[in-house]
Amino acid sequence: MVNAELLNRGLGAQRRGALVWAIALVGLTASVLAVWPAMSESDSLDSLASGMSPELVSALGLEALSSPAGFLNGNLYAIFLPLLFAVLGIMHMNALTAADEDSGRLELLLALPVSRVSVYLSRFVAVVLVLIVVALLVGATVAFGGATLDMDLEAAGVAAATVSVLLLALFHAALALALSGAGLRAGVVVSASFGVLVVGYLIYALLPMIESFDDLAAASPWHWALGGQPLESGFDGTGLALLGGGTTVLVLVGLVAVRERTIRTA
Amino acid sequence: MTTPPIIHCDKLTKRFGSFTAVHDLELDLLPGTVLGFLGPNGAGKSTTIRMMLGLSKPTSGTVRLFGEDPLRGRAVRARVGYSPGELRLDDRLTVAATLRSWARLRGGVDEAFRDRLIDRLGVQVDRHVRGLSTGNRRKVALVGALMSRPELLILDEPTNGLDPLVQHEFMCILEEVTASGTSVLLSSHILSEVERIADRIVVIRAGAVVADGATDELRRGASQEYRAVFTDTAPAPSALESLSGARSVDSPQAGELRVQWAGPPRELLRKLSEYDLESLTAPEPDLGTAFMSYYRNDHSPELSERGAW
Repeated sequence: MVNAELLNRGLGAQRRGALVWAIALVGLTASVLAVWPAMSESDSLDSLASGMSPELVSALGLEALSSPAGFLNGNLYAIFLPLLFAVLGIMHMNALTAADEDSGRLELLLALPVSRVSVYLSRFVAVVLVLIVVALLVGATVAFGGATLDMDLEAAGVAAATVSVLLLALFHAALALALSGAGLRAGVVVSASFGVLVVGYLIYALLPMIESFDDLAAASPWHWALGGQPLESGFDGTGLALLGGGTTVLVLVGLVAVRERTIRTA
Repeated sequence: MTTPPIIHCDKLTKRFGSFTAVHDLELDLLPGTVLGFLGPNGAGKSTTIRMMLGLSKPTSGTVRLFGEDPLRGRAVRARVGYSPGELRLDDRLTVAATLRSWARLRGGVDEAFRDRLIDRLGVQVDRHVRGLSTGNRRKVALVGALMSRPELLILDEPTNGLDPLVQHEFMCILEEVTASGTSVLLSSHILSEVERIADRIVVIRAGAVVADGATDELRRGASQEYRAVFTDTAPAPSALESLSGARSVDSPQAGELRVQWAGPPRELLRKLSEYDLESLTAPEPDLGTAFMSYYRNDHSPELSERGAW
Protein backbone atom coordinates (compact mmCIF):
# COMPACT_ATOMS: atom_id res chain seq x y z
CA MET A 1 0.00 0.00 0.00
CA VAL A 2 2.82 2.42 0.87
CA ASN A 3 4.84 2.96 -2.30
CA ALA A 4 8.55 3.65 -1.78
CA GLU A 5 8.78 6.10 -4.69
CA LEU A 6 5.69 8.02 -3.58
CA LEU A 7 7.00 8.10 -0.02
CA ASN A 8 10.35 9.35 -1.24
CA ARG A 9 8.70 12.09 -3.30
CA GLY A 10 6.49 13.01 -0.34
CA LEU A 11 9.55 13.39 1.87
CA GLY A 12 11.40 15.35 -0.82
CA ALA A 13 8.48 17.75 -1.19
CA GLN A 14 8.58 18.49 2.55
CA ARG A 15 12.36 18.75 2.88
CA ARG A 16 12.72 22.52 3.00
CA GLY A 17 9.58 23.15 5.03
CA ALA A 18 10.51 20.44 7.51
CA LEU A 19 13.98 21.92 7.95
CA VAL A 20 12.57 25.37 8.69
CA TRP A 21 10.02 23.95 11.13
CA ALA A 22 12.67 21.83 12.87
CA ILE A 23 14.99 24.83 13.30
CA ALA A 24 12.11 27.00 14.56
CA LEU A 25 10.77 24.45 17.04
CA VAL A 26 14.18 23.41 18.34
CA GLY A 27 15.10 27.10 18.59
CA LEU A 28 11.92 27.88 20.54
CA THR A 29 12.52 24.94 22.88
CA ALA A 30 16.16 25.86 23.44
CA SER A 31 15.20 29.49 24.11
CA VAL A 32 12.66 28.51 26.75
CA LEU A 33 15.16 26.16 28.38
CA ALA A 34 17.81 28.86 28.37
CA VAL A 35 15.56 31.14 30.40
CA TRP A 36 15.10 28.56 33.18
CA PRO A 37 18.24 29.33 35.26
CA ALA A 38 17.26 32.99 35.55
CA MET A 39 13.59 32.26 36.20
CA SER A 40 14.25 29.51 38.76
CA GLU A 41 16.08 32.00 40.96
CA SER A 42 13.21 34.46 40.80
CA ASP A 43 10.33 34.35 43.29
CA SER A 44 7.93 35.96 40.88
CA LEU A 45 6.93 32.83 38.92
CA ASP A 46 4.37 31.49 41.38
CA SER A 47 2.99 34.92 42.09
CA LEU A 48 2.34 35.32 38.33
CA ALA A 49 -0.70 33.08 38.56
CA SER A 50 -1.72 33.97 42.08
CA GLY A 51 -4.51 36.32 41.03
CA MET A 52 -6.07 33.89 38.55
CA SER A 53 -8.81 31.32 39.11
CA PRO A 54 -7.56 27.69 39.38
CA GLU A 55 -9.40 26.81 36.13
CA LEU A 56 -7.69 29.61 34.19
CA VAL A 57 -4.32 28.68 35.68
CA SER A 58 -4.91 25.12 34.54
CA ALA A 59 -6.12 26.27 31.10
CA LEU A 60 -2.96 28.26 30.53
CA GLY A 61 -0.70 25.56 32.00
CA LEU A 62 0.58 27.89 34.69
CA GLU A 63 0.40 25.44 37.60
CA ALA A 64 3.58 25.05 39.61
CA LEU A 65 5.56 27.37 37.38
CA SER A 66 8.47 27.40 39.75
CA SER A 67 9.08 23.67 39.31
CA PRO A 68 11.04 22.56 36.20
CA ALA A 69 8.16 20.43 34.90
CA GLY A 70 5.63 23.20 35.58
CA PHE A 71 7.86 25.75 33.87
CA LEU A 72 8.22 23.59 30.75
CA ASN A 73 4.53 22.78 30.76
CA GLY A 74 3.51 26.43 30.98
CA ASN A 75 5.97 27.64 28.38
CA LEU A 76 6.05 24.76 25.90
CA TYR A 77 3.86 21.69 26.34
CA ALA A 78 0.53 23.25 27.35
CA ILE A 79 0.01 25.43 24.28
CA PHE A 80 2.95 26.30 22.05
CA LEU A 81 4.33 22.91 21.07
CA PRO A 82 0.92 21.20 20.56
CA LEU A 83 -0.33 24.16 18.55
CA LEU A 84 2.77 24.49 16.37
CA PHE A 85 3.13 20.74 15.79
CA ALA A 86 -0.52 20.51 14.76
CA VAL A 87 -0.09 23.48 12.40
CA LEU A 88 2.94 21.74 10.88
CA GLY A 89 0.96 18.53 10.41
CA ILE A 90 -2.02 20.31 8.84
CA MET A 91 0.08 22.46 6.51
CA HIS A 92 2.23 19.62 5.23
CA MET A 93 -0.67 17.20 4.82
CA ASN A 94 -2.67 19.83 2.98
CA ALA A 95 0.28 20.65 0.69
CA LEU A 96 0.66 16.99 -0.29
CA THR A 97 -3.04 16.36 -0.92
CA ALA A 98 -5.57 19.16 -1.50
CA ALA A 99 -3.03 21.79 -2.62
CA ASP A 100 -1.37 19.26 -4.94
CA GLU A 101 -4.76 18.52 -6.47
CA ASP A 102 -5.59 22.24 -6.79
CA SER A 103 -2.32 22.80 -8.64
CA GLY A 104 -3.16 20.06 -11.17
CA ARG A 105 -0.06 17.98 -10.35
CA LEU A 106 -2.07 15.14 -8.82
CA GLU A 107 -3.83 14.49 -12.14
CA LEU A 108 -0.67 13.52 -13.99
CA LEU A 109 0.45 11.30 -11.10
CA LEU A 110 -2.90 9.50 -10.92
CA ALA A 111 -2.82 8.81 -14.64
CA LEU A 112 0.14 6.53 -13.87
CA PRO A 113 -0.50 2.98 -12.63
CA VAL A 114 -0.68 3.97 -8.97
CA SER A 115 -3.75 3.76 -6.77
CA ARG A 116 -5.16 6.82 -5.09
CA VAL A 117 -5.10 4.97 -1.76
CA SER A 118 -1.40 4.32 -2.22
CA VAL A 119 -0.74 8.00 -3.06
CA TYR A 120 -2.64 9.29 -0.04
CA LEU A 121 -1.31 6.66 2.37
CA SER A 122 2.30 7.14 1.23
CA ARG A 123 1.97 10.89 1.67
CA PHE A 124 0.43 10.48 5.11
CA VAL A 125 3.36 8.29 6.12
CA ALA A 126 5.72 10.96 4.74
CA VAL A 127 4.09 13.56 7.02
CA VAL A 128 4.20 11.12 9.95
CA LEU A 129 7.94 10.61 9.41
CA VAL A 130 8.60 14.36 9.28
CA LEU A 131 6.59 14.90 12.49
CA ILE A 132 8.45 12.04 14.21
CA VAL A 133 11.85 13.47 13.27
CA VAL A 134 10.91 16.98 14.43
CA ALA A 135 9.41 15.55 17.65
CA LEU A 136 12.59 13.55 18.28
CA LEU A 137 14.69 16.69 17.83
CA VAL A 138 12.48 18.70 20.18
CA GLY A 139 12.32 15.87 22.73
CA ALA A 140 16.09 15.45 22.57
CA THR A 141 16.54 19.21 23.03
CA VAL A 142 14.35 19.13 26.16
CA ALA A 143 16.11 16.05 27.53
CA PHE A 144 19.60 17.38 26.81
CA GLY A 145 18.78 20.91 27.99
CA GLY A 146 17.08 19.60 31.13
CA ALA A 147 20.11 17.46 31.98
CA THR A 148 22.55 20.30 31.29
CA LEU A 149 20.59 22.75 33.42
CA ASP A 150 19.99 20.23 36.24
CA MET A 151 16.23 20.48 35.86
CA ASP A 152 15.78 16.95 37.16
CA LEU A 153 13.16 16.05 34.56
CA GLU A 154 11.75 12.52 34.34
CA ALA A 155 12.76 11.00 31.00
CA ALA A 156 9.43 9.15 30.86
CA GLY A 157 7.59 12.45 31.38
CA VAL A 158 9.46 14.20 28.57
CA ALA A 159 8.86 11.21 26.30
CA ALA A 160 5.16 11.03 27.21
CA ALA A 161 4.61 14.77 26.68
CA THR A 162 6.45 14.72 23.35
CA VAL A 163 4.54 11.65 22.14
CA SER A 164 1.26 13.28 23.20
CA VAL A 165 2.10 16.41 21.23
CA LEU A 166 3.10 14.25 18.25
CA LEU A 167 -0.14 12.26 18.33
CA LEU A 168 -2.21 15.44 18.59
CA ALA A 169 -0.44 16.71 15.47
CA LEU A 170 -1.04 13.40 13.69
CA PHE A 171 -4.73 13.57 14.57
CA HIS A 172 -5.03 16.99 12.91
CA ALA A 173 -2.91 15.92 9.92
CA ALA A 174 -5.29 12.97 9.52
CA LEU A 175 -8.21 15.39 9.67
CA ALA A 176 -6.64 17.39 6.83
CA LEU A 177 -6.18 14.13 4.89
CA ALA A 178 -9.84 13.19 5.42
CA LEU A 179 -11.06 16.60 4.24
CA SER A 180 -8.73 16.50 1.21
CA GLY A 181 -9.91 12.98 0.43
CA ALA A 182 -13.48 14.25 0.43
CA GLY A 183 -12.49 16.70 -2.32
CA LEU A 184 -12.35 20.01 -0.45
CA ARG A 185 -10.06 22.72 -1.78
CA ALA A 186 -6.82 23.54 0.01
CA GLY A 187 -8.07 26.77 1.56
CA VAL A 188 -11.11 25.03 3.00
CA VAL A 189 -9.04 22.10 4.29
CA VAL A 190 -6.64 24.42 6.13
CA SER A 191 -9.42 26.63 7.52
CA ALA A 192 -11.52 23.70 8.73
CA SER A 193 -8.54 21.87 10.26
CA PHE A 194 -7.34 25.02 12.05
CA GLY A 195 -10.92 25.59 13.19
CA VAL A 196 -11.07 22.13 14.77
CA LEU A 197 -7.65 22.71 16.36
CA VAL A 198 -8.68 26.02 17.94
CA VAL A 199 -12.18 24.92 18.95
CA GLY A 200 -10.63 21.77 20.45
CA TYR A 201 -8.33 23.93 22.54
CA LEU A 202 -11.16 26.21 23.67
CA ILE A 203 -13.27 23.21 24.70
CA TYR A 204 -10.32 21.73 26.59
CA ALA A 205 -9.16 24.95 28.21
CA LEU A 206 -12.24 27.09 28.74
CA LEU A 207 -15.23 24.77 29.25
CA PRO A 208 -13.93 23.49 32.62
CA MET A 209 -14.46 27.05 33.90
CA ILE A 210 -18.21 26.64 33.33
CA GLU A 211 -19.54 24.13 35.83
CA SER A 212 -22.31 22.62 33.72
CA PHE A 213 -20.00 22.09 30.71
CA ASP A 214 -16.83 20.88 32.38
CA ASP A 215 -17.42 17.24 31.38
CA LEU A 216 -17.40 18.23 27.72
CA ALA A 217 -13.69 18.99 27.90
CA ALA A 218 -13.10 15.25 27.73
CA ALA A 219 -14.39 15.33 24.12
CA SER A 220 -11.46 17.48 22.98
CA PRO A 221 -8.39 15.91 21.31
CA TRP A 222 -6.36 18.35 23.42
CA HIS A 223 -7.74 16.68 26.53
CA TRP A 224 -6.84 13.25 25.16
CA ALA A 225 -3.29 14.47 24.60
CA LEU A 226 -2.65 16.67 27.62
CA GLY A 227 -5.47 16.03 30.10
CA GLY A 228 -3.40 13.41 31.91
CA GLN A 229 -0.52 15.88 32.51
CA PRO A 230 2.00 13.65 30.67
CA LEU A 231 5.07 15.71 31.64
CA GLU A 232 4.43 15.02 35.32
CA SER A 233 2.45 11.78 35.19
CA GLY A 234 3.87 9.97 32.17
CA PHE A 235 1.91 8.16 29.47
CA ASP A 236 -1.89 8.29 29.57
CA GLY A 237 -2.95 5.09 27.80
CA THR A 238 -6.58 6.08 27.35
CA GLY A 239 -5.78 9.48 25.89
CA LEU A 240 -3.17 8.10 23.52
CA ALA A 241 -5.53 5.30 22.44
CA LEU A 242 -8.25 7.84 21.69
CA LEU A 243 -5.83 9.95 19.63
CA GLY A 244 -4.49 6.88 17.80
CA GLY A 245 -8.00 5.55 17.16
CA GLY A 246 -9.27 8.93 15.98
CA THR A 247 -6.30 9.31 13.67
CA THR A 248 -6.86 5.85 12.20
CA VAL A 249 -10.55 6.53 11.59
CA LEU A 250 -9.81 9.87 9.90
CA VAL A 251 -7.15 8.32 7.65
CA LEU A 252 -9.58 5.55 6.65
CA VAL A 253 -12.29 8.13 5.90
CA GLY A 254 -9.85 10.04 3.66
CA LEU A 255 -8.74 6.89 1.83
CA VAL A 256 -12.29 5.69 1.20
CA ALA A 257 -13.46 9.16 0.12
CA VAL A 258 -10.69 9.69 -2.42
CA ARG A 259 -10.97 6.29 -4.07
CA GLU A 260 -13.60 6.94 -6.72
CA ARG A 261 -14.33 10.64 -6.78
CA THR A 262 -13.55 13.07 -9.59
CA ILE A 263 -10.10 14.64 -9.32
CA ARG A 264 -10.21 18.41 -9.76
CA THR A 265 -8.48 20.10 -12.65
CA ALA A 266 -6.26 23.11 -12.03
CA MET B 1 -15.72 -12.30 -34.27
CA THR B 2 -14.99 -8.57 -33.99
CA THR B 3 -11.96 -7.21 -32.14
CA PRO B 4 -12.98 -5.61 -28.85
CA PRO B 5 -12.23 -1.87 -28.74
CA ILE B 6 -9.40 -0.58 -26.57
CA ILE B 7 -11.52 2.37 -25.52
CA HIS B 8 -15.27 2.00 -25.40
CA CYS B 9 -17.61 4.79 -24.31
CA ASP B 10 -21.31 4.04 -24.07
CA LYS B 11 -23.74 6.90 -23.47
CA LEU B 12 -21.01 8.60 -21.47
CA THR B 13 -22.32 11.68 -19.68
CA LYS B 14 -20.67 14.14 -17.31
CA ARG B 15 -22.53 16.95 -15.63
CA PHE B 16 -21.12 19.66 -13.38
CA GLY B 17 -24.19 20.96 -11.58
CA SER B 18 -26.61 22.11 -14.25
CA PHE B 19 -23.89 22.22 -16.94
CA THR B 20 -23.58 19.16 -19.16
CA ALA B 21 -19.96 18.83 -20.29
CA VAL B 22 -20.37 15.49 -22.08
CA HIS B 23 -23.70 14.12 -23.25
CA ASP B 24 -24.43 10.51 -24.25
CA LEU B 25 -21.04 10.19 -25.93
CA GLU B 26 -20.45 7.01 -27.93
CA LEU B 27 -16.89 6.30 -29.00
CA ASP B 28 -14.75 3.28 -29.83
CA LEU B 29 -11.02 3.07 -30.46
CA LEU B 30 -10.01 -0.13 -32.19
CA PRO B 31 -6.59 -1.75 -31.61
CA GLY B 32 -3.80 -0.46 -33.82
CA THR B 33 -5.72 2.56 -35.05
CA VAL B 34 -5.37 6.31 -34.57
CA LEU B 35 -8.47 8.22 -33.59
CA GLY B 36 -8.49 11.97 -34.09
CA PHE B 37 -10.60 13.62 -31.41
CA LEU B 38 -11.64 17.07 -32.52
CA GLY B 39 -13.81 19.81 -31.16
CA PRO B 40 -13.75 23.49 -30.31
CA ASN B 41 -12.59 24.78 -26.92
CA GLY B 42 -14.97 23.65 -24.19
CA ALA B 43 -16.46 20.91 -26.37
CA GLY B 44 -15.78 18.28 -23.70
CA LYS B 45 -12.65 16.61 -25.15
CA SER B 46 -10.51 16.87 -22.03
CA THR B 47 -13.43 15.91 -19.77
CA THR B 48 -13.96 12.79 -21.88
CA ILE B 49 -10.26 11.94 -21.75
CA ARG B 50 -10.23 12.38 -17.97
CA MET B 51 -13.11 9.89 -17.69
CA MET B 52 -11.22 7.46 -19.93
CA LEU B 53 -8.29 7.61 -17.50
CA GLY B 54 -10.41 7.23 -14.39
CA LEU B 55 -9.64 10.77 -13.20
CA SER B 56 -13.25 11.85 -13.45
CA LYS B 57 -16.30 9.86 -12.49
CA PRO B 58 -19.02 9.72 -15.17
CA THR B 59 -22.44 10.99 -14.13
CA SER B 60 -23.97 8.20 -16.21
CA GLY B 61 -22.97 5.81 -18.95
CA THR B 62 -19.84 3.70 -19.02
CA VAL B 63 -16.27 3.95 -20.18
CA ARG B 64 -14.03 0.93 -20.59
CA LEU B 65 -10.29 0.89 -21.12
CA PHE B 66 -9.04 -2.50 -22.33
CA GLY B 67 -12.42 -3.83 -21.16
CA GLU B 68 -11.99 -2.53 -17.59
CA ASP B 69 -13.40 0.32 -15.58
CA PRO B 70 -10.48 2.80 -15.47
CA LEU B 71 -11.66 4.20 -12.14
CA ARG B 72 -11.05 0.84 -10.46
CA GLY B 73 -8.40 -0.79 -12.61
CA ARG B 74 -5.02 0.60 -11.58
CA ALA B 75 -3.13 -1.99 -13.64
CA VAL B 76 -4.86 -0.98 -16.84
CA ARG B 77 -3.17 2.43 -16.69
CA ALA B 78 0.21 0.69 -17.02
CA ARG B 79 -0.80 0.06 -20.64
CA VAL B 80 -1.50 3.74 -21.32
CA GLY B 81 0.79 6.67 -22.02
CA TYR B 82 -0.86 10.02 -21.34
CA SER B 83 0.11 13.58 -22.10
CA PRO B 84 -2.45 16.03 -20.66
CA GLY B 85 -3.54 19.24 -22.33
CA GLU B 86 -2.99 21.34 -19.21
CA LEU B 87 0.46 20.34 -18.09
CA ARG B 88 1.42 20.71 -14.42
CA LEU B 89 4.77 19.18 -13.54
CA ASP B 90 6.47 19.17 -10.15
CA ASP B 91 8.63 22.32 -10.23
CA ARG B 92 10.88 21.06 -7.44
CA LEU B 93 12.40 18.29 -9.55
CA THR B 94 14.87 18.26 -12.39
CA VAL B 95 13.77 16.82 -15.72
CA ALA B 96 15.93 13.72 -15.12
CA ALA B 97 14.41 13.20 -11.65
CA THR B 98 10.90 13.65 -13.07
CA LEU B 99 11.46 11.01 -15.74
CA ARG B 100 13.16 8.68 -13.23
CA SER B 101 10.24 9.00 -10.84
CA TRP B 102 7.67 8.30 -13.56
CA ALA B 103 9.73 5.31 -14.69
CA ARG B 104 9.76 3.87 -11.14
CA LEU B 105 6.02 4.36 -10.76
CA ARG B 106 5.21 3.04 -14.21
CA GLY B 107 7.74 0.25 -14.60
CA GLY B 108 8.70 -1.41 -17.88
CA VAL B 109 10.52 1.58 -19.32
CA ASP B 110 12.71 0.93 -22.34
CA GLU B 111 15.71 3.06 -21.34
CA ALA B 112 17.39 2.99 -24.73
CA PHE B 113 14.15 4.11 -26.38
CA ARG B 114 13.69 6.80 -23.72
CA ASP B 115 17.20 8.13 -24.39
CA ARG B 116 16.51 8.22 -28.12
CA LEU B 117 13.30 10.17 -27.48
CA ILE B 118 15.19 12.62 -25.26
CA ASP B 119 17.73 13.08 -28.00
CA ARG B 120 15.25 13.46 -30.85
CA LEU B 121 12.99 15.91 -29.03
CA GLY B 122 15.91 17.85 -27.57
CA VAL B 123 14.89 17.43 -23.93
CA GLN B 124 17.26 19.16 -21.48
CA VAL B 125 17.42 16.56 -18.73
CA ASP B 126 19.73 18.43 -16.35
CA ARG B 127 17.50 21.46 -15.99
CA HIS B 128 15.00 22.12 -13.24
CA VAL B 129 11.39 21.86 -14.35
CA ARG B 130 10.61 25.29 -12.89
CA GLY B 131 12.96 26.93 -15.41
CA LEU B 132 11.44 25.26 -18.46
CA SER B 133 9.28 26.94 -21.08
CA THR B 134 5.86 25.53 -21.94
CA GLY B 135 7.29 23.79 -24.98
CA ASN B 136 10.13 22.19 -23.03
CA ARG B 137 7.70 20.99 -20.35
CA ARG B 138 5.58 19.50 -23.12
CA LYS B 139 8.60 17.56 -24.41
CA VAL B 140 9.12 16.06 -20.94
CA ALA B 141 5.48 14.95 -20.82
CA LEU B 142 5.73 13.42 -24.29
CA VAL B 143 8.85 11.43 -23.37
CA GLY B 144 7.01 10.30 -20.21
CA ALA B 145 4.02 9.16 -22.24
CA LEU B 146 6.06 7.31 -24.86
CA MET B 147 9.00 5.87 -22.91
CA SER B 148 7.37 2.64 -21.78
CA ARG B 149 6.13 1.86 -25.30
CA PRO B 150 2.49 1.69 -24.11
CA GLU B 151 -0.20 -0.13 -26.06
CA LEU B 152 -2.33 3.01 -26.02
CA LEU B 153 -1.35 6.67 -26.20
CA ILE B 154 -3.83 9.31 -25.09
CA LEU B 155 -2.49 12.66 -26.24
CA ASP B 156 -4.38 15.84 -25.43
CA GLU B 157 -3.07 18.72 -27.58
CA PRO B 158 0.39 17.09 -27.67
CA THR B 159 2.13 19.71 -29.80
CA ASN B 160 0.91 22.76 -27.87
CA GLY B 161 3.89 25.03 -27.32
CA LEU B 162 6.33 23.01 -29.45
CA ASP B 163 8.30 24.80 -32.14
CA PRO B 164 7.67 23.64 -35.75
CA LEU B 165 10.84 21.54 -35.93
CA VAL B 166 10.01 19.63 -32.76
CA GLN B 167 6.39 19.32 -33.86
CA HIS B 168 7.60 17.70 -37.05
CA GLU B 169 9.95 15.37 -35.18
CA PHE B 170 7.21 14.40 -32.76
CA MET B 171 4.83 13.58 -35.61
CA CYS B 172 7.54 11.40 -37.15
CA ILE B 173 7.93 9.58 -33.83
CA LEU B 174 4.16 9.19 -33.60
CA GLU B 175 4.03 7.71 -37.08
CA GLU B 176 6.76 5.24 -36.12
CA VAL B 177 5.02 4.08 -32.95
CA THR B 178 1.65 3.77 -34.68
CA ALA B 179 3.31 1.76 -37.44
CA SER B 180 4.44 -0.68 -34.75
CA GLY B 181 0.83 -1.17 -33.63
CA THR B 182 0.32 1.39 -30.87
CA SER B 183 -3.22 2.72 -30.69
CA VAL B 184 -3.59 6.47 -30.31
CA LEU B 185 -6.32 8.83 -29.24
CA LEU B 186 -5.14 12.19 -30.52
CA SER B 187 -6.97 15.28 -29.39
CA SER B 188 -5.71 18.30 -31.28
CA HIS B 189 -6.67 21.63 -32.74
CA ILE B 190 -3.98 21.32 -35.39
CA LEU B 191 -5.99 19.74 -38.12
CA SER B 192 -3.07 18.99 -40.41
CA GLU B 193 -1.63 16.80 -37.65
CA VAL B 194 -4.83 14.85 -37.26
CA GLU B 195 -5.33 14.60 -41.01
CA ARG B 196 -1.81 13.25 -41.43
CA ILE B 197 -2.08 10.44 -38.93
CA ALA B 198 -5.68 9.64 -37.98
CA ASP B 199 -7.51 6.65 -39.46
CA ARG B 200 -10.75 7.81 -37.96
CA ILE B 201 -12.09 11.06 -36.61
CA VAL B 202 -14.67 11.91 -34.01
CA VAL B 203 -15.83 15.51 -33.82
CA ILE B 204 -17.59 16.61 -30.66
CA ARG B 205 -19.37 19.82 -29.98
CA ALA B 206 -21.15 20.87 -26.80
CA GLY B 207 -20.30 17.45 -25.35
CA ALA B 208 -21.96 15.41 -28.09
CA VAL B 209 -20.59 13.62 -31.14
CA VAL B 210 -21.46 15.49 -34.33
CA ALA B 211 -19.35 13.43 -36.71
CA ASP B 212 -17.70 10.05 -36.52
CA GLY B 213 -16.09 8.38 -39.47
CA ALA B 214 -12.98 7.50 -41.41
CA THR B 215 -10.85 10.55 -42.19
CA ASP B 216 -11.50 10.32 -45.95
CA GLU B 217 -15.20 9.80 -45.36
CA LEU B 218 -15.34 12.87 -43.19
CA ARG B 219 -13.44 14.92 -45.72
CA ARG B 220 -15.84 13.84 -48.47
CA GLY B 221 -18.87 14.51 -46.28
CA ALA B 222 -17.90 18.11 -45.70
CA SER B 223 -19.25 20.87 -47.86
CA GLN B 224 -17.09 21.47 -50.94
CA GLU B 225 -16.09 24.83 -52.24
CA TYR B 226 -16.67 25.45 -55.98
CA ARG B 227 -15.22 28.47 -57.74
CA ALA B 228 -17.03 29.44 -60.93
CA VAL B 229 -15.65 32.07 -63.32
CA PHE B 230 -17.95 33.37 -66.05
CA THR B 231 -16.95 34.84 -69.40
CA ASP B 232 -19.48 37.62 -69.02
CA THR B 233 -21.58 38.60 -66.03
CA ALA B 234 -21.94 36.16 -63.17
CA PRO B 235 -25.46 35.24 -62.09
CA ALA B 236 -26.75 36.81 -58.90
CA PRO B 237 -25.94 34.67 -55.83
CA SER B 238 -29.65 34.42 -55.13
CA ALA B 239 -29.99 32.35 -58.31
CA LEU B 240 -28.00 29.56 -56.62
CA GLU B 241 -28.90 30.06 -52.97
CA SER B 242 -32.27 28.40 -53.45
CA LEU B 243 -30.65 25.13 -54.53
CA SER B 244 -30.87 22.41 -51.90
CA GLY B 245 -27.11 21.72 -51.69
CA ALA B 246 -26.03 25.33 -51.42
CA ARG B 247 -24.65 26.29 -48.02
CA SER B 248 -23.39 29.73 -48.99
CA VAL B 249 -22.88 31.69 -52.18
CA ASP B 250 -20.82 34.82 -52.55
CA SER B 251 -19.27 36.87 -55.27
CA PRO B 252 -15.71 37.90 -54.37
CA GLN B 253 -15.34 39.86 -57.61
CA ALA B 254 -17.23 40.61 -60.80
CA GLY B 255 -17.70 37.53 -62.97
CA GLU B 256 -16.92 35.07 -60.18
CA LEU B 257 -18.94 33.05 -57.66
CA ARG B 258 -17.82 30.94 -54.75
CA VAL B 259 -20.27 28.27 -53.67
CA GLN B 260 -20.10 26.08 -50.56
CA TRP B 261 -21.94 22.94 -51.61
CA ALA B 262 -22.91 19.82 -49.69
CA GLY B 263 -23.60 16.56 -51.48
CA PRO B 264 -23.34 15.50 -55.13
CA PRO B 265 -22.87 18.53 -57.42
CA ARG B 266 -25.24 17.40 -60.21
CA GLU B 267 -27.85 20.07 -59.48
CA LEU B 268 -25.18 22.78 -59.22
CA LEU B 269 -23.60 21.80 -62.53
CA ARG B 270 -26.98 21.81 -64.25
CA LYS B 271 -27.69 25.31 -62.95
CA LEU B 272 -24.24 26.66 -63.85
CA SER B 273 -24.53 25.28 -67.37
CA GLU B 274 -27.36 27.76 -67.96
CA TYR B 275 -24.74 30.55 -67.85
CA ASP B 276 -21.60 31.39 -69.82
CA LEU B 277 -19.20 29.42 -67.65
CA GLU B 278 -15.50 29.94 -68.36
CA SER B 279 -14.05 27.67 -65.68
CA LEU B 280 -15.12 25.68 -62.65
CA THR B 281 -12.59 24.62 -60.02
CA ALA B 282 -13.03 22.64 -56.83
CA PRO B 283 -10.00 22.48 -54.51
CA GLU B 284 -9.45 19.19 -52.70
CA PRO B 285 -11.33 19.60 -49.42
CA ASP B 286 -9.01 19.33 -46.45
CA LEU B 287 -9.93 18.45 -42.94
CA GLY B 288 -10.06 22.10 -42.02
CA THR B 289 -12.97 22.60 -44.37
CA ALA B 290 -14.66 19.53 -42.95
CA PHE B 291 -13.96 20.64 -39.42
CA MET B 292 -15.40 24.11 -39.96
CA SER B 293 -18.33 22.56 -41.74
CA TYR B 294 -19.12 20.32 -38.76
CA TYR B 295 -18.63 23.20 -36.37
CA ARG B 296 -21.03 25.31 -38.35
CA ASN B 297 -23.71 22.68 -37.81
CA ASP B 298 -24.08 21.86 -41.49
CA HIS B 299 -24.55 18.27 -40.40
CA SER B 300 -26.35 18.51 -37.12
CA PRO B 301 -29.48 20.65 -37.25
CA GLU B 302 -30.67 19.14 -33.98
CA LEU B 303 -27.65 20.63 -32.21
CA SER B 304 -28.10 24.05 -33.71
CA GLU B 305 -31.62 24.07 -32.36
CA ARG B 306 -30.14 23.61 -28.88
CA GLY B 307 -28.17 26.77 -29.43
CA ALA B 308 -25.40 25.36 -27.31
CA TRP B 309 -22.62 27.66 -28.52
